[in-house]
Amino acid sequence: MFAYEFMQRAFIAGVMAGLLCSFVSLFVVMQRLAFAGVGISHSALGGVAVGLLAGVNPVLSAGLFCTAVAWLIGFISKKGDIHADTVIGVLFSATMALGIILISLTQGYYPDLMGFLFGNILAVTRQDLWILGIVGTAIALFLMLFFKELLFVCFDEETAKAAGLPTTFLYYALLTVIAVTIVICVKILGIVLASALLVIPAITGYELARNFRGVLVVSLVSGVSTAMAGLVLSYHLNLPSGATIVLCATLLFFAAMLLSPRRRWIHALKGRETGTGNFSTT
Amino acid sequence: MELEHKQPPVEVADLTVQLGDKLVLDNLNFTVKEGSFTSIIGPNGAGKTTLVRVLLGLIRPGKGSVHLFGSIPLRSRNRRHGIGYLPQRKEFDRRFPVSALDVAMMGRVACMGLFRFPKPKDRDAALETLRRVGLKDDQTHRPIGELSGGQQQLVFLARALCSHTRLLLLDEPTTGLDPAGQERFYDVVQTLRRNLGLTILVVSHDVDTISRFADRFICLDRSVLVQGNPAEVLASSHLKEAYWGRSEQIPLSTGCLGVL
Repeated sequence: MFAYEFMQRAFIAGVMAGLLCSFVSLFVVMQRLAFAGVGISHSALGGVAVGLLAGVNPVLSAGLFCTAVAWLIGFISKKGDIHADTVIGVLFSATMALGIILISLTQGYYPDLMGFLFGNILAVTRQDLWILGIVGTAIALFLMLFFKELLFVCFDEETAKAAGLPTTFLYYALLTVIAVTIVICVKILGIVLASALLVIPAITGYELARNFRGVLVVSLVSGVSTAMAGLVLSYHLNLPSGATIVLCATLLFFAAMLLSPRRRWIHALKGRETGTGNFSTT
Repeated sequence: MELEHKQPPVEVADLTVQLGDKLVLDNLNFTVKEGSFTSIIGPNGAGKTTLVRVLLGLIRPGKGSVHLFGSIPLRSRNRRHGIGYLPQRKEFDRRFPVSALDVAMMGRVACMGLFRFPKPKDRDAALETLRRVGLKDDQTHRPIGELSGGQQQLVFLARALCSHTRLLLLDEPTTGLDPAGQERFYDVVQTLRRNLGLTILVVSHDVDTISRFADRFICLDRSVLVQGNPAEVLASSHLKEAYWGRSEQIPLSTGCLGVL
Protein backbone atom coordinates (compact mmCIF):
# COMPACT_ATOMS: atom_id res chain seq x y z
CA MET A 1 0.00 0.00 0.00
CA PHE A 2 2.99 2.30 0.50
CA ALA A 3 3.85 2.15 -3.21
CA TYR A 4 1.45 5.06 -3.65
CA GLU A 5 2.67 8.49 -2.63
CA PHE A 6 -0.78 9.50 -1.37
CA MET A 7 -0.71 6.51 1.00
CA GLN A 8 2.71 7.53 2.30
CA ARG A 9 1.36 11.02 2.96
CA ALA A 10 -1.77 9.58 4.57
CA PHE A 11 0.34 7.40 6.86
CA ILE A 12 2.58 10.28 7.95
CA ALA A 13 -0.50 12.47 8.52
CA GLY A 14 -2.19 9.71 10.53
CA VAL A 15 0.84 9.22 12.79
CA MET A 16 1.26 12.97 13.36
CA ALA A 17 -2.46 13.49 14.06
CA GLY A 18 -2.48 10.47 16.39
CA LEU A 19 0.49 11.81 18.36
CA LEU A 20 -0.85 15.35 18.56
CA CYS A 21 -4.43 14.45 19.47
CA SER A 22 -3.36 11.95 22.12
CA PHE A 23 -1.03 14.52 23.75
CA VAL A 24 -3.76 17.18 23.78
CA SER A 25 -6.31 14.61 24.99
CA LEU A 26 -4.47 14.27 28.33
CA PHE A 27 -5.35 17.88 29.16
CA VAL A 28 -8.84 17.66 27.63
CA VAL A 29 -9.70 14.77 29.95
CA MET A 30 -7.92 16.18 33.03
CA GLN A 31 -9.65 19.56 32.60
CA ARG A 32 -12.97 17.83 31.76
CA LEU A 33 -13.25 19.59 28.40
CA ALA A 34 -14.44 16.57 26.41
CA PHE A 35 -17.78 18.17 25.54
CA ALA A 36 -16.00 21.44 24.71
CA GLY A 37 -14.02 19.44 22.11
CA VAL A 38 -17.25 18.16 20.58
CA GLY A 39 -18.72 21.67 20.52
CA ILE A 40 -15.62 23.26 19.01
CA SER A 41 -15.20 20.58 16.33
CA HIS A 42 -18.82 20.83 15.21
CA SER A 43 -18.55 24.61 15.06
CA ALA A 44 -15.90 24.08 12.37
CA LEU A 45 -18.79 23.57 9.95
CA GLY A 46 -19.70 27.23 10.37
CA GLY A 47 -16.07 28.22 9.78
CA VAL A 48 -15.76 26.06 6.68
CA ALA A 49 -19.02 27.49 5.30
CA VAL A 50 -17.78 31.06 5.89
CA GLY A 51 -14.58 30.18 3.99
CA LEU A 52 -16.45 28.60 1.08
CA LEU A 53 -18.83 31.55 0.85
CA ALA A 54 -16.08 34.15 1.08
CA GLY A 55 -13.67 32.30 -1.18
CA VAL A 56 -11.09 32.01 1.62
CA ASN A 57 -9.15 28.84 2.47
CA PRO A 58 -11.76 26.90 4.52
CA VAL A 59 -9.11 25.50 6.89
CA LEU A 60 -7.98 29.03 7.76
CA SER A 61 -11.53 30.31 8.22
CA ALA A 62 -12.44 27.24 10.27
CA GLY A 63 -9.35 27.77 12.44
CA LEU A 64 -10.29 31.36 13.22
CA PHE A 65 -13.96 30.49 13.69
CA CYS A 66 -13.25 27.54 16.02
CA THR A 67 -10.83 29.60 18.10
CA ALA A 68 -13.43 32.36 18.44
CA VAL A 69 -16.07 29.80 19.48
CA ALA A 70 -13.64 28.22 21.98
CA TRP A 71 -12.94 31.62 23.56
CA LEU A 72 -16.66 32.42 23.63
CA ILE A 73 -17.32 29.13 25.44
CA GLY A 74 -14.61 30.02 27.94
CA PHE A 75 -15.73 33.62 28.38
CA ILE A 76 -19.46 32.95 28.87
CA SER A 77 -18.90 30.00 31.19
CA LYS A 78 -16.37 31.94 33.31
CA LYS A 79 -18.12 35.31 33.41
CA GLY A 80 -21.77 34.55 32.82
CA ASP A 81 -22.47 32.14 35.68
CA ILE A 82 -23.62 29.58 33.12
CA HIS A 83 -22.26 26.05 33.19
CA ALA A 84 -19.81 25.36 30.36
CA ASP A 85 -21.89 22.39 29.09
CA THR A 86 -24.93 24.66 28.67
CA VAL A 87 -22.90 27.24 26.71
CA ILE A 88 -21.41 24.50 24.52
CA GLY A 89 -24.88 23.03 23.89
CA VAL A 90 -26.12 26.41 22.61
CA LEU A 91 -23.05 27.33 20.53
CA PHE A 92 -22.65 23.80 19.14
CA SER A 93 -26.11 23.81 17.53
CA ALA A 94 -26.06 27.52 16.65
CA THR A 95 -22.76 27.32 14.73
CA MET A 96 -23.85 24.15 12.93
CA ALA A 97 -27.12 25.85 11.97
CA LEU A 98 -25.13 28.84 10.70
CA GLY A 99 -22.92 26.51 8.67
CA ILE A 100 -25.90 24.73 7.07
CA ILE A 101 -27.59 28.04 6.17
CA LEU A 102 -24.37 29.52 4.72
CA ILE A 103 -23.72 26.38 2.66
CA SER A 104 -27.28 26.48 1.33
CA LEU A 105 -26.64 30.08 0.22
CA THR A 106 -23.52 29.19 -1.77
CA GLN A 107 -23.90 28.40 -5.44
CA GLY A 108 -22.50 25.21 -6.91
CA TYR A 109 -21.25 21.92 -5.55
CA TYR A 110 -18.31 21.62 -3.21
CA PRO A 111 -16.78 18.15 -3.33
CA ASP A 112 -14.52 19.11 -0.38
CA LEU A 113 -17.52 19.51 1.93
CA MET A 114 -17.93 15.76 2.52
CA GLY A 115 -14.19 15.59 3.12
CA PHE A 116 -14.46 18.25 5.79
CA LEU A 117 -17.44 16.54 7.41
CA PHE A 118 -16.11 13.00 7.51
CA GLY A 119 -12.40 13.38 6.70
CA ASN A 120 -10.46 12.30 3.64
CA ILE A 121 -6.97 11.31 4.63
CA LEU A 122 -6.17 10.14 1.10
CA ALA A 123 -6.54 13.73 -0.09
CA VAL A 124 -3.84 15.02 2.28
CA THR A 125 -1.39 17.14 0.34
CA ARG A 126 2.29 17.90 0.97
CA GLN A 127 1.20 21.36 2.16
CA ASP A 128 -1.23 19.80 4.66
CA LEU A 129 1.64 17.73 6.05
CA TRP A 130 3.78 20.84 6.52
CA ILE A 131 0.92 22.64 8.31
CA LEU A 132 0.28 19.62 10.52
CA GLY A 133 4.00 19.27 11.29
CA ILE A 134 4.72 22.92 12.08
CA VAL A 135 1.51 23.74 13.98
CA GLY A 136 1.56 20.37 15.74
CA THR A 137 5.15 20.91 16.89
CA ALA A 138 4.25 24.38 18.18
CA ILE A 139 1.32 22.95 20.16
CA ALA A 140 3.47 20.12 21.58
CA LEU A 141 6.17 22.62 22.60
CA PHE A 142 3.59 24.82 24.32
CA LEU A 143 2.18 21.86 26.25
CA MET A 144 5.66 20.72 27.30
CA LEU A 145 6.76 24.20 28.40
CA PHE A 146 3.62 24.77 30.47
CA PHE A 147 3.14 21.16 31.55
CA LYS A 148 3.58 21.69 35.30
CA GLU A 149 1.38 24.81 35.30
CA LEU A 150 -1.36 23.13 33.25
CA LEU A 151 -1.28 20.08 35.53
CA PHE A 152 -1.73 22.33 38.58
CA VAL A 153 -4.58 24.29 36.97
CA CYS A 154 -6.37 21.11 35.83
CA PHE A 155 -6.14 19.63 39.34
CA ASP A 156 -6.95 22.68 41.47
CA GLU A 157 -7.55 25.94 39.65
CA GLU A 158 -8.29 27.97 42.79
CA THR A 159 -5.03 27.09 44.53
CA ALA A 160 -3.07 27.54 41.30
CA LYS A 161 -4.56 31.03 41.02
CA ALA A 162 -3.70 31.78 44.64
CA ALA A 163 -0.13 30.62 43.92
CA GLY A 164 0.12 33.36 41.30
CA LEU A 165 -0.19 31.19 38.18
CA PRO A 166 -1.77 32.86 35.12
CA THR A 167 -4.84 30.61 35.26
CA THR A 168 -7.00 32.66 32.88
CA PHE A 169 -4.25 32.72 30.24
CA LEU A 170 -3.69 28.97 30.63
CA TYR A 171 -7.43 28.21 30.34
CA TYR A 172 -7.84 30.22 27.13
CA ALA A 173 -4.56 28.86 25.78
CA LEU A 174 -5.82 25.32 26.33
CA LEU A 175 -9.11 26.13 24.55
CA THR A 176 -7.08 27.58 21.67
CA VAL A 177 -4.90 24.46 21.53
CA ILE A 178 -8.04 22.30 21.30
CA ALA A 179 -9.52 24.49 18.54
CA VAL A 180 -6.33 24.55 16.46
CA THR A 181 -5.72 20.81 16.92
CA ILE A 182 -9.23 20.05 15.70
CA VAL A 183 -8.87 22.25 12.65
CA ILE A 184 -5.51 20.86 11.50
CA CYS A 185 -6.83 17.32 11.98
CA VAL A 186 -10.15 17.96 10.22
CA LYS A 187 -8.92 16.70 6.85
CA ILE A 188 -7.90 13.41 8.44
CA LEU A 189 -10.76 12.76 10.84
CA GLY A 190 -13.53 15.10 9.72
CA ILE A 191 -15.54 17.67 11.66
CA VAL A 192 -17.92 15.06 13.03
CA LEU A 193 -15.21 12.77 14.40
CA ALA A 194 -12.26 15.07 15.16
CA SER A 195 -13.16 15.48 18.81
CA ALA A 196 -13.15 11.70 19.40
CA LEU A 197 -9.35 11.47 19.24
CA LEU A 198 -9.16 14.32 21.74
CA VAL A 199 -10.79 12.14 24.37
CA ILE A 200 -10.40 8.41 23.69
CA PRO A 201 -6.57 8.06 23.91
CA ALA A 202 -6.38 9.71 27.35
CA ILE A 203 -9.33 7.81 28.83
CA THR A 204 -7.67 4.61 27.55
CA GLY A 205 -4.60 5.77 29.49
CA TYR A 206 -6.75 6.42 32.58
CA GLU A 207 -7.82 2.78 32.47
CA LEU A 208 -4.31 1.37 32.32
CA ALA A 209 -2.18 3.81 34.33
CA ARG A 210 -2.51 5.54 37.69
CA ASN A 211 -0.13 8.44 37.11
CA PHE A 212 -0.20 11.17 34.45
CA ARG A 213 3.18 10.01 33.09
CA GLY A 214 1.78 6.54 32.47
CA VAL A 215 -1.49 7.96 31.13
CA LEU A 216 0.48 10.09 28.66
CA VAL A 217 2.57 7.14 27.46
CA VAL A 218 -0.50 4.90 26.99
CA SER A 219 -2.33 7.78 25.33
CA LEU A 220 0.49 8.43 22.82
CA VAL A 221 0.94 4.73 22.04
CA SER A 222 -2.80 4.15 21.62
CA GLY A 223 -3.24 7.33 19.55
CA VAL A 224 -0.51 6.40 17.08
CA SER A 225 -1.28 2.68 16.94
CA THR A 226 -5.01 3.17 16.34
CA ALA A 227 -4.28 5.78 13.67
CA MET A 228 -2.01 3.30 11.85
CA ALA A 229 -4.38 0.36 12.35
CA GLY A 230 -7.33 2.45 11.18
CA LEU A 231 -5.50 3.51 8.05
CA VAL A 232 -4.42 -0.01 7.12
CA LEU A 233 -7.93 -1.36 7.70
CA SER A 234 -9.60 1.46 5.81
CA TYR A 235 -7.26 0.86 2.84
CA HIS A 236 -7.81 -2.89 2.69
CA LEU A 237 -11.55 -2.85 3.49
CA ASN A 238 -12.26 0.31 1.51
CA LEU A 239 -13.77 2.11 4.51
CA PRO A 240 -13.77 5.82 5.44
CA SER A 241 -10.42 6.46 7.13
CA GLY A 242 -11.54 8.85 9.91
CA ALA A 243 -14.40 6.61 11.04
CA THR A 244 -12.15 3.50 10.99
CA ILE A 245 -9.48 5.24 13.10
CA VAL A 246 -12.09 6.36 15.67
CA LEU A 247 -13.62 2.86 15.85
CA CYS A 248 -10.17 1.31 16.36
CA ALA A 249 -9.50 3.76 19.20
CA THR A 250 -12.88 2.96 20.75
CA LEU A 251 -12.23 -0.79 20.57
CA LEU A 252 -8.86 -0.27 22.26
CA PHE A 253 -10.58 1.74 24.98
CA PHE A 254 -13.08 -1.06 25.67
CA ALA A 255 -10.22 -3.58 25.73
CA ALA A 256 -8.37 -1.35 28.23
CA MET A 257 -11.52 -1.17 30.36
CA LEU A 258 -11.73 -4.95 30.48
CA LEU A 259 -8.05 -5.35 31.36
CA SER A 260 -7.83 -2.33 33.66
CA PRO A 261 -6.09 -2.85 36.98
CA ARG A 262 -7.92 0.34 38.04
CA ARG A 263 -11.21 -1.55 38.16
CA ARG A 264 -9.81 -3.82 40.84
CA TRP A 265 -8.58 -1.02 43.05
CA ILE A 266 -11.73 1.02 42.61
CA HIS A 267 -13.65 -1.92 44.08
CA ALA A 268 -11.04 -2.21 46.82
CA LEU A 269 -11.44 1.49 47.55
CA LYS A 270 -15.20 1.24 47.78
CA GLY A 271 -14.79 -1.64 50.22
CA ARG A 272 -12.38 0.38 52.35
CA GLU A 273 -14.68 3.39 52.45
CA THR A 274 -17.53 1.26 53.67
CA GLY A 275 -15.27 -0.34 56.25
CA THR A 276 -13.85 2.83 57.83
CA GLY A 277 -16.84 5.12 57.47
CA ASN A 278 -14.47 7.93 56.51
CA PHE A 279 -15.91 10.92 54.67
CA SER A 280 -16.23 10.64 50.94
CA THR A 281 -14.41 12.75 48.41
CA THR A 282 -16.52 11.75 45.45
CA MET B 1 15.81 41.10 52.99
CA GLU B 2 16.73 42.02 56.60
CA LEU B 3 14.12 44.77 56.46
CA GLU B 4 11.52 42.40 55.07
CA HIS B 5 11.92 40.03 58.04
CA LYS B 6 11.19 42.85 60.48
CA GLN B 7 7.83 43.53 58.85
CA PRO B 8 4.83 41.72 60.39
CA PRO B 9 3.58 38.75 58.36
CA VAL B 10 0.12 40.36 58.03
CA GLU B 11 -0.80 44.00 58.46
CA VAL B 12 -4.34 45.11 57.62
CA ALA B 13 -5.26 48.79 57.88
CA ASP B 14 -8.69 50.36 57.28
CA LEU B 15 -9.59 47.54 54.90
CA THR B 16 -12.98 47.84 53.20
CA VAL B 17 -14.21 45.48 50.49
CA GLN B 18 -17.43 45.81 48.56
CA LEU B 19 -18.50 43.04 46.16
CA GLY B 20 -21.17 44.38 43.82
CA ASP B 21 -23.44 46.43 46.02
CA LYS B 22 -22.71 44.36 49.13
CA LEU B 23 -20.33 45.62 51.80
CA VAL B 24 -18.42 42.46 52.78
CA LEU B 25 -15.60 43.88 54.92
CA ASP B 26 -15.86 47.19 56.71
CA ASN B 27 -12.84 49.07 58.02
CA LEU B 28 -10.74 46.14 59.28
CA ASN B 29 -7.61 46.78 61.32
CA PHE B 30 -5.34 44.07 62.71
CA THR B 31 -1.78 42.81 62.71
CA VAL B 32 -0.55 39.23 62.89
CA LYS B 33 2.76 38.78 64.72
CA GLU B 34 5.52 36.56 63.43
CA GLY B 35 5.33 33.02 64.81
CA SER B 36 1.78 33.42 66.12
CA PHE B 37 -1.16 31.05 65.63
CA THR B 38 -4.07 33.35 64.87
CA SER B 39 -7.59 32.27 64.11
CA ILE B 40 -10.16 34.35 62.29
CA ILE B 41 -13.55 33.29 63.63
CA GLY B 42 -17.05 34.44 62.89
CA PRO B 43 -20.44 33.24 61.68
CA ASN B 44 -21.32 32.32 58.10
CA GLY B 45 -21.25 35.33 55.80
CA ALA B 46 -18.92 37.25 58.14
CA GLY B 47 -16.42 37.81 55.31
CA LYS B 48 -13.75 35.35 56.50
CA THR B 49 -13.06 33.75 53.11
CA THR B 50 -13.20 37.14 51.38
CA LEU B 51 -10.52 38.33 53.79
CA VAL B 52 -8.31 35.35 52.85
CA ARG B 53 -8.82 36.13 49.16
CA VAL B 54 -7.80 39.74 49.78
CA LEU B 55 -4.68 38.53 51.62
CA LEU B 56 -3.86 36.33 48.60
CA GLY B 57 -4.24 39.25 46.23
CA LEU B 58 -7.24 37.68 44.47
CA ILE B 59 -9.56 40.54 45.45
CA ARG B 60 -8.41 44.14 45.46
CA PRO B 61 -9.41 46.19 48.51
CA GLY B 62 -11.86 49.01 47.82
CA LYS B 63 -10.24 51.06 50.58
CA GLY B 64 -7.38 50.60 53.00
CA SER B 65 -4.29 48.45 52.69
CA VAL B 66 -2.99 44.93 53.17
CA HIS B 67 0.70 44.10 53.58
CA LEU B 68 2.27 40.65 53.87
CA PHE B 69 5.83 40.93 55.20
CA GLY B 70 5.71 44.55 54.14
CA SER B 71 4.63 43.88 50.54
CA ILE B 72 1.29 44.37 48.85
CA PRO B 73 -0.08 40.96 47.80
CA LEU B 74 -0.24 40.90 44.01
CA ARG B 75 -1.24 38.21 41.61
CA SER B 76 2.27 37.33 40.59
CA ARG B 77 4.10 34.20 41.49
CA ASN B 78 7.28 35.91 42.75
CA ARG B 79 5.16 37.58 45.44
CA ARG B 80 3.90 34.15 46.52
CA HIS B 81 7.25 33.03 47.94
CA GLY B 82 6.86 32.40 51.63
CA ILE B 83 3.05 32.27 51.59
CA GLY B 84 1.32 28.90 51.71
CA TYR B 85 -2.42 28.53 51.18
CA LEU B 86 -4.73 25.67 51.98
CA PRO B 87 -8.24 26.36 50.62
CA GLN B 88 -11.51 25.00 51.91
CA ARG B 89 -11.80 21.30 51.33
CA LYS B 90 -13.77 20.53 48.20
CA GLU B 91 -14.60 17.71 45.85
CA PHE B 92 -12.02 16.71 43.29
CA ASP B 93 -11.79 14.12 40.56
CA ARG B 94 -10.79 11.01 42.47
CA ARG B 95 -9.39 9.47 39.30
CA PHE B 96 -7.12 12.43 38.61
CA PRO B 97 -3.82 10.70 37.77
CA VAL B 98 -1.45 12.29 40.30
CA SER B 99 0.34 10.85 43.33
CA ALA B 100 0.69 12.52 46.72
CA LEU B 101 4.22 13.49 45.68
CA ASP B 102 2.94 15.08 42.43
CA VAL B 103 0.44 17.16 44.43
CA ALA B 104 3.14 18.32 46.85
CA MET B 105 5.35 19.17 43.85
CA MET B 106 2.61 21.55 42.66
CA GLY B 107 3.56 23.70 45.65
CA ARG B 108 7.05 23.99 44.18
CA VAL B 109 5.57 25.34 40.93
CA ALA B 110 4.79 28.56 42.79
CA CYS B 111 8.49 29.26 43.36
CA MET B 112 9.74 27.97 40.00
CA GLY B 113 9.95 30.23 36.99
CA LEU B 114 8.05 29.65 33.76
CA PHE B 115 9.86 27.33 31.32
CA ARG B 116 11.68 25.67 34.21
CA PHE B 117 11.40 21.95 34.72
CA PRO B 118 11.40 20.48 38.23
CA LYS B 119 14.84 19.31 39.38
CA PRO B 120 15.75 16.47 41.76
CA LYS B 121 16.14 19.02 44.57
CA ASP B 122 12.48 20.07 44.07
CA ARG B 123 11.42 16.44 44.30
CA ASP B 124 13.54 15.88 47.42
CA ALA B 125 12.10 19.01 49.05
CA ALA B 126 8.54 17.84 48.31
CA LEU B 127 9.30 14.36 49.72
CA GLU B 128 10.81 15.87 52.84
CA THR B 129 7.73 18.06 53.34
CA LEU B 130 5.40 15.06 52.94
CA ARG B 131 7.40 13.27 55.64
CA ARG B 132 7.22 16.35 57.87
CA VAL B 133 3.40 16.37 57.76
CA GLY B 134 3.38 12.72 58.72
CA LEU B 135 2.88 10.85 55.45
CA LYS B 136 4.62 7.48 55.29
CA ASP B 137 7.08 6.79 52.48
CA ASP B 138 4.85 4.17 50.84
CA GLN B 139 1.96 6.67 50.75
CA THR B 140 3.88 9.36 48.89
CA HIS B 141 3.69 7.50 45.59
CA ARG B 142 0.05 6.44 45.91
CA PRO B 143 -2.59 8.20 43.78
CA ILE B 144 -4.17 11.06 45.74
CA GLY B 145 -7.63 9.56 45.22
CA GLU B 146 -6.59 6.37 47.05
CA LEU B 147 -5.68 8.18 50.27
CA SER B 148 -8.15 8.77 53.10
CA GLY B 149 -9.65 12.23 53.62
CA GLY B 150 -7.29 13.02 56.49
CA GLN B 151 -4.24 11.91 54.48
CA GLN B 152 -5.37 13.96 51.49
CA GLN B 153 -5.62 17.04 53.68
CA LEU B 154 -2.06 16.43 54.93
CA VAL B 155 -0.88 16.20 51.31
CA PHE B 156 -2.57 19.54 50.56
CA LEU B 157 -0.91 20.96 53.69
CA ALA B 158 2.45 19.72 52.36
CA ARG B 159 1.72 21.43 49.03
CA ALA B 160 1.07 24.70 50.93
CA LEU B 161 4.41 24.30 52.71
CA CYS B 162 6.47 23.61 49.62
CA SER B 163 7.11 27.21 48.56
CA HIS B 164 9.60 28.23 51.29
CA THR B 165 6.57 29.03 53.41
CA ARG B 166 6.78 31.43 56.34
CA LEU B 167 3.09 32.38 56.51
CA LEU B 168 0.48 29.64 56.27
CA LEU B 169 -3.10 30.67 55.38
CA LEU B 170 -5.63 27.94 56.14
CA ASP B 171 -9.28 28.38 55.14
CA GLU B 172 -11.56 26.02 57.08
CA PRO B 173 -8.94 23.27 56.74
CA THR B 174 -10.72 20.60 58.76
CA THR B 175 -14.15 20.75 57.16
CA GLY B 176 -15.32 17.18 56.63
CA LEU B 177 -12.83 15.64 59.05
CA ASP B 178 -14.07 13.81 62.14
CA PRO B 179 -13.14 15.33 65.57
CA ALA B 180 -10.10 13.04 65.96
CA GLY B 181 -8.95 13.93 62.45
CA GLN B 182 -9.33 17.63 63.22
CA GLU B 183 -7.21 17.28 66.38
CA ARG B 184 -4.54 15.36 64.48
CA PHE B 185 -4.48 17.95 61.71
CA TYR B 186 -4.03 20.88 64.09
CA ASP B 187 -1.42 18.91 66.07
CA VAL B 188 0.61 18.61 62.86
CA VAL B 189 0.17 22.34 62.14
CA GLN B 190 1.23 23.23 65.68
CA THR B 191 4.34 21.03 65.45
CA LEU B 192 5.26 22.56 62.07
CA ARG B 193 4.82 26.02 63.50
CA ARG B 194 7.26 25.26 66.32
CA ASN B 195 9.80 23.41 64.19
CA LEU B 196 9.77 25.72 61.18
CA GLY B 197 8.94 29.01 62.91
CA LEU B 198 5.80 29.45 60.82
CA THR B 199 3.13 32.06 61.30
CA ILE B 200 -0.31 30.49 61.12
CA LEU B 201 -3.49 32.31 60.13
CA VAL B 202 -6.48 29.98 60.10
CA VAL B 203 -10.07 30.78 59.23
CA SER B 204 -12.32 28.52 61.23
CA HIS B 205 -15.97 28.05 61.99
CA ASP B 206 -15.17 25.51 64.69
CA VAL B 207 -14.37 27.73 67.65
CA ASP B 208 -14.28 24.82 70.09
CA THR B 209 -11.42 22.91 68.42
CA ILE B 210 -9.35 25.87 67.30
CA SER B 211 -9.40 27.46 70.77
CA ARG B 212 -7.09 24.64 71.94
CA PHE B 213 -4.43 25.60 69.39
CA ALA B 214 -4.66 29.31 68.58
CA ASP B 215 -2.97 31.92 70.74
CA ARG B 216 -5.00 34.76 69.27
CA PHE B 217 -8.57 35.14 68.02
CA ILE B 218 -9.93 37.79 65.68
CA CYS B 219 -13.74 37.72 65.67
CA LEU B 220 -15.09 39.02 62.41
CA ASP B 221 -18.57 39.94 61.29
CA ARG B 222 -17.93 42.34 58.40
CA SER B 223 -15.80 44.36 60.81
CA VAL B 224 -13.51 43.19 63.60
CA LEU B 225 -15.82 42.80 66.61
CA VAL B 226 -13.17 41.78 69.10
CA GLN B 227 -9.59 40.49 69.05
CA GLY B 228 -7.26 39.15 71.69
CA ASN B 229 -6.30 35.88 73.33
CA PRO B 230 -8.89 33.09 73.01
CA ALA B 231 -10.10 33.32 76.63
CA GLU B 232 -10.75 37.06 76.31
CA VAL B 233 -12.54 36.73 73.01
CA LEU B 234 -14.65 33.78 74.11
CA ALA B 235 -15.78 35.72 77.17
CA SER B 236 -16.66 38.75 75.11
CA SER B 237 -20.28 39.72 74.63
CA HIS B 238 -19.45 40.76 71.04
CA LEU B 239 -18.72 37.15 70.08
CA LYS B 240 -21.97 35.87 71.54
CA GLU B 241 -23.89 38.64 69.79
CA ALA B 242 -22.27 37.77 66.48
CA TYR B 243 -23.37 34.15 66.69
CA TRP B 244 -26.59 34.60 68.65
CA GLY B 245 -27.71 37.40 66.42
CA ARG B 246 -27.71 35.00 63.51
CA SER B 247 -29.28 32.15 65.55
CA GLU B 248 -26.69 29.76 64.18
CA GLN B 249 -24.75 28.83 67.25
CA ILE B 250 -25.15 28.59 71.00
CA PRO B 251 -22.56 28.85 73.76
CA LEU B 252 -21.42 25.53 75.18
CA SER B 253 -21.05 24.96 78.93
CA THR B 254 -17.30 25.34 78.44
CA GLY B 255 -17.78 28.90 77.33
CA CYS B 256 -17.10 27.91 73.73
CA LEU B 257 -19.64 27.95 70.96
CA GLY B 258 -21.31 25.00 69.33
CA VAL B 259 -23.19 24.74 66.09
CA LEU B 260 -26.94 24.35 66.40
